[in-house]
Amino acid sequence: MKGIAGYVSRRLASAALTLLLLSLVTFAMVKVIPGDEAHVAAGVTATPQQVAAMRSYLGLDRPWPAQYLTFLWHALHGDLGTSVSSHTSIAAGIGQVLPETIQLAGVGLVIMVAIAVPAAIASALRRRRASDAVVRAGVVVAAGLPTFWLALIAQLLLATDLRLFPISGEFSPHTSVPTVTGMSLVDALLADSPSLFWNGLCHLILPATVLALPFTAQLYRALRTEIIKVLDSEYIDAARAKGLGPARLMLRHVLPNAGGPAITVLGATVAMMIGSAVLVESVFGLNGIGAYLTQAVANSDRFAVIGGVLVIGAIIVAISFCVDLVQLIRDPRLRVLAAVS
Amino acid sequence: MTTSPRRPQRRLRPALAVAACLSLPFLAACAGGGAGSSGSAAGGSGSAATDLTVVHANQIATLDPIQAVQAETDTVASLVYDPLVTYDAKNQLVGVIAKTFATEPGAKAVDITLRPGLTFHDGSPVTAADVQFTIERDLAVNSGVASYLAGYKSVTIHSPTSLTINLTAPNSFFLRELSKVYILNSKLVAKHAASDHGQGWLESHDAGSGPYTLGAVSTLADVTVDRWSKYFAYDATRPTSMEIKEVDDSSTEASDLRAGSADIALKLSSADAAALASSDGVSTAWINSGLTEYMWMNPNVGPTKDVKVREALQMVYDYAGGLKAVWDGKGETISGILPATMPCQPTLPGYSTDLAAAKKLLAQAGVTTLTLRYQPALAQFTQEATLFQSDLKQAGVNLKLVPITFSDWLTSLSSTNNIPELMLMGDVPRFPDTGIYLNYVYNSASVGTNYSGFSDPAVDKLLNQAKVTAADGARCTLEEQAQQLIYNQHVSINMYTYQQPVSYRSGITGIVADPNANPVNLRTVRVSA
Repeated sequence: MKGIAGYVSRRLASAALTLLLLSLVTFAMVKVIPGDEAHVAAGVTATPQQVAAMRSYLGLDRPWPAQYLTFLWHALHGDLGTSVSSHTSIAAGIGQVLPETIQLAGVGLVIMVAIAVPAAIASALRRRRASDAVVRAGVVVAAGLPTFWLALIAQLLLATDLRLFPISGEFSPHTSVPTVTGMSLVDALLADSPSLFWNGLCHLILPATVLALPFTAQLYRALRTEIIKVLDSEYIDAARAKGLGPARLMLRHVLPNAGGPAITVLGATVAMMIGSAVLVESVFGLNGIGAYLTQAVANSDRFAVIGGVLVIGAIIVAISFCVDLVQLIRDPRLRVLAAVS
Repeated sequence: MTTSPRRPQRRLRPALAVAACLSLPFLAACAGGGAGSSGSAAGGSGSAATDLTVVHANQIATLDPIQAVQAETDTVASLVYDPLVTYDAKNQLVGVIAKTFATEPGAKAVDITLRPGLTFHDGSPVTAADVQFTIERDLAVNSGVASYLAGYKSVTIHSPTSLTINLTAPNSFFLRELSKVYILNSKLVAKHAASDHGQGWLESHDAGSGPYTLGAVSTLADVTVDRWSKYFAYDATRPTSMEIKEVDDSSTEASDLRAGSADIALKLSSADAAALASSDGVSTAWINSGLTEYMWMNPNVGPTKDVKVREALQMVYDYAGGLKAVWDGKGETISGILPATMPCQPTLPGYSTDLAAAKKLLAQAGVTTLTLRYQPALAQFTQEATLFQSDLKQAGVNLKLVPITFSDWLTSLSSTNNIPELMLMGDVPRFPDTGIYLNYVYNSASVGTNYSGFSDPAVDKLLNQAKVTAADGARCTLEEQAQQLIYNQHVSINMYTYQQPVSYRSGITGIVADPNANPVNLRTVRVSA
């Protein structure tokens, strides 16, 4: 137990160091890009005196190391600074848009699992048959589809032409719910409005599917390979010889033992989904962290860029940490390794 | 050892069938109710016929009207707030909150009488104290429209509806630049001022007196304004509400419009707007807001220091060809240094392509290579830069194309030696006032907004004189003289103005060019019964 606690402590320290390095690299990269945040903040028509006053107000007249340390100190207290385009808190701005992206990635994850797991099971059970080949070919195509292109085509065919889904936005025009969490579906439920929940779900299902599809292929491939490995194990033969039904066999013995790599893939996928969300959000008119970062770059809002990258980095580090913990809990071999390392 | 696939295989097909059956009602329900329509577009269905949905690209960073220099903020601020004065379609200054207004002779003060009986949305009266509060608050924040208030000294309040704004130096532009300063409800903002002069609160709250009130804002990507029945110029043909939604992708905007889930689409690409021409019930207005393409030449350093080189470069660009190839002919070439939308312009001969003459001049000057900076984020800039490169090659000069970010370019303006020798950019006058624009762009004292680093004492003298001249006619004459001098100095390649498309559904009117907005002002939108 002591060994495991040590392992968790080391992972926590490593996560903190990763975030520190990320903040340093992002800050340095943003600083070496030519340009003047103070002029952007003061406005295009600002006089040199106004630009100078803004530079002083934003603390940009201080040396870089001092700026970085101040930024770090404030960031540790939840303050990511002030946006030079909106002149308001960056943390609050990110707080407004992040739930939307988390919801999009969350629904995408559910869709990914709902497609990839049954497909991988079916494919593994029917390996080297025609249907397996068809599914694998489909997976290769899905993995290779550029998200932006897929989003445009899906929108054109399914929303614009066939009108099966709404084209853009969180809800239908002139429809909204009071914001509590910032996630439209959760807020609709909190508002006790099933119709709005349905409305929001209809708006989310197509972008989430588009986001999930390329990643579904990765999960499918990882899971299919592992299921085949497990199915070829002797203990599965033994279980089958004992008369265990296929459903029970799959749920009790195959999936739990084949799930390790799949969980790692899932963790990595969530992180990548948040990164890819920018393209989907842009096409489907959703206002998430991707759209926030894109606009921050367009507006030369460097503090907002640093804040956004740090928040995404923190999410990825947290997910990675959680995946390690889950693997540690579900796999006794890892616990032994952690204890002795 | 392999597993037998037999039993699971038999269960697969029913499972797929069940999944398909379950998804059908879902698709049907989404298609029926979720696809959403404003239900509304004018000409659409019935009673809620004036609830419009407006889609636009680019993020609204804040609804604080101090940032009305940003077009996206101004789109909403111009609906919720009123300025003291504004410009009419003929570029004439007219009162909004101000009933009367005048720059005093000597241009050191501005006298203003407020329209009586005006109230903010919370019912409190609009007073001279609110005007003073707004100006001083904007200057304290020192950002956005604060740059238009440089030279402010104090306010003398004569009565709740009468005041004089005193200036530190004569400035006939001050009154005109007040057209972008929206008046705030001082009591309300002071109550929520916190430590940031109310910027955080105003980001998503209403302290205005305009024709629309701001609904609850959960995200700036989806803002709804509602027609205010107590507005002093209430008009029942204004839409009852407008939902202003951010949709960054132009093709998505077009799809929304085609499907009826949007009624007005701003910032469409020209290609998407052109494609909408075949859609029933959708029209497109091509708006000329004076948005002009320029290549600014730095007359202080490098080859462009030679006026003959600058003249030659003006003869290289294929004006008509560029307009047709890049902007599908949606625009017009310009004859002087300003877009045709601006007043007070002398008659100038304009620009034409003459590669042979340009080649001769460039050879005489010994110019073999030049560098053009441009922002590749806009595809049209890249096209124009490439076109110019090709034209210049025929004139015997190699043009190097080097990208530059907007903020880097802004930084370069702080010193004439750092300004690029050639810089391609689009610009739109922020006010339909020639004197203000010339002062920003050509006065040598305007460091930071003088795009080329141009400096000519004779021009400075005329512009400084214009600034202190209160009489419009005399001011206009000075500005025309300045333009003639600038024209002769060949400061920039003045390419053309281009039109921006705004598409809208039938039954909507008032989608027109507005001197106060780029491309349109939603205040002018009306819905037919």
